[in-house]
Amino acid sequence: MILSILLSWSIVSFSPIFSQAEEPRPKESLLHLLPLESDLKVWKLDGEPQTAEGIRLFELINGGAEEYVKEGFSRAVMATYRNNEGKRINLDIYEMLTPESAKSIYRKKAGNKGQKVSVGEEAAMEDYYLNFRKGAYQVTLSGYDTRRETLEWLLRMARLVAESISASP
Amino acid sequence: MKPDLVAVKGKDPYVNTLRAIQELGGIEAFMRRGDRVGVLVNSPFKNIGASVNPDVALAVIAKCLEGGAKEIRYLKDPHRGYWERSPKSGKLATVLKALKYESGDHVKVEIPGGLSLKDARVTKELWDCDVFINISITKHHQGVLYSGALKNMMGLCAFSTNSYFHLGTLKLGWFADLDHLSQCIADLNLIKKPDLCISDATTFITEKGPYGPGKLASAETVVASTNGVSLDAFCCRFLGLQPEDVLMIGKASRNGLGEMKHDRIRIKSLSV
Repeated sequence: MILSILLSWSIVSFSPIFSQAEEPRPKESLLHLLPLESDLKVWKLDGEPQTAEGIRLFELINGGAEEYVKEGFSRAVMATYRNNEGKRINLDIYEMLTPESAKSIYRKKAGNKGQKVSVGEEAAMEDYYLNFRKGAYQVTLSGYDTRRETLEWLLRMARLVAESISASP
Repeated sequence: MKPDLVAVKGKDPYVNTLRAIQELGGIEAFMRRGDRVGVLVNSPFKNIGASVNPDVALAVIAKCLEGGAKEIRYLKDPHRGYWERSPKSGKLATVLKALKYESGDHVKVEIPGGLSLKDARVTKELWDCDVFINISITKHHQGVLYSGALKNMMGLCAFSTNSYFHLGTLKLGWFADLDHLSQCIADLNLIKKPDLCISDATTFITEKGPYGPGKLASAETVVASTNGVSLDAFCCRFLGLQPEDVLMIGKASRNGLGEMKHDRIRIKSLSV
């Protein structure tokens, strides 16, 4: 019963997913968008990145997936970086079905209260996190404090991701 | 007379938690030596203010071990690096070593009194425990507005059960039928009443919940009660809500799960 509910829900509610199934395109892993440790000096990946496609996003971020799926979500990669002081930065990269979907979800995630910063097509920095969008991607980076050094790293990592998106096919 | 609910305000979440337990009669009021204790900690989200401060969970677990717990079952796995967020985790390494994590197995449980939820698939280990402690974080939730002890019970369920909460009436969207979702949460709470509920209202997201990141608030408070309905009815104030604003609280109270009227709850508030 649950399977049929999920199936009917995903088909009816998220028709872009269905359309995409009619015209499959080869997908390269999103892992190539993650900043390389060699570009990050003291920051290293903290464990394996996690990935999700379609409705499986709910398994990673629970109710947080609602808005993404509603706006037309394709897939995501999530990673945490850790520096030699034990500080962490989380990076979530969401590939949406279209640039318009990315714009819509960016508006919800970033709101209009943050400080505008120059990353991708649009970006905002708030107390301890940064959102930006570029093409069909919406990206969130978050730290655990509001120190200037942490915020500078958020910005630096965000720019590296944005550059990788440019280089994407 | 012992209070029904204790709210302890102070700078150190660990100390606040210990004091809250003490005010409710100490850990021995909830467990005996040799008991198996199950702790359900809302800790799967990596963003700050979206998971229980690990010091709150550590304080409860340390107290249970001190009280002679034979085994501590951690009923829902934390996110990677969760414990390292606590400066106390090194000092309390032996406490962490004592934890046994979930197997990932779920068993079907009938809920005869449920109005919208008649059965659920629930973490198997819950039924191996003599004592059940629910440790939630007070935070925003974009669907049900507030997440606390009652909502935390969904952490016990298989994805298929939680999907039914959200999609069971075939209304489209994860939060499209809030009445059904809220009733399912109230019904789920019938499966097993926690012996102790703790909610972390130290630092929490006030928007973009349950996952965040979002704007943070800090009430520097840890709240403890033997009743999840009363706890949520009290803690929703930290998000500027009244108990009546949160559908699941009223529904759980009507399910006979507890008192939501403030004037009928013996509340003790203190600072440390």
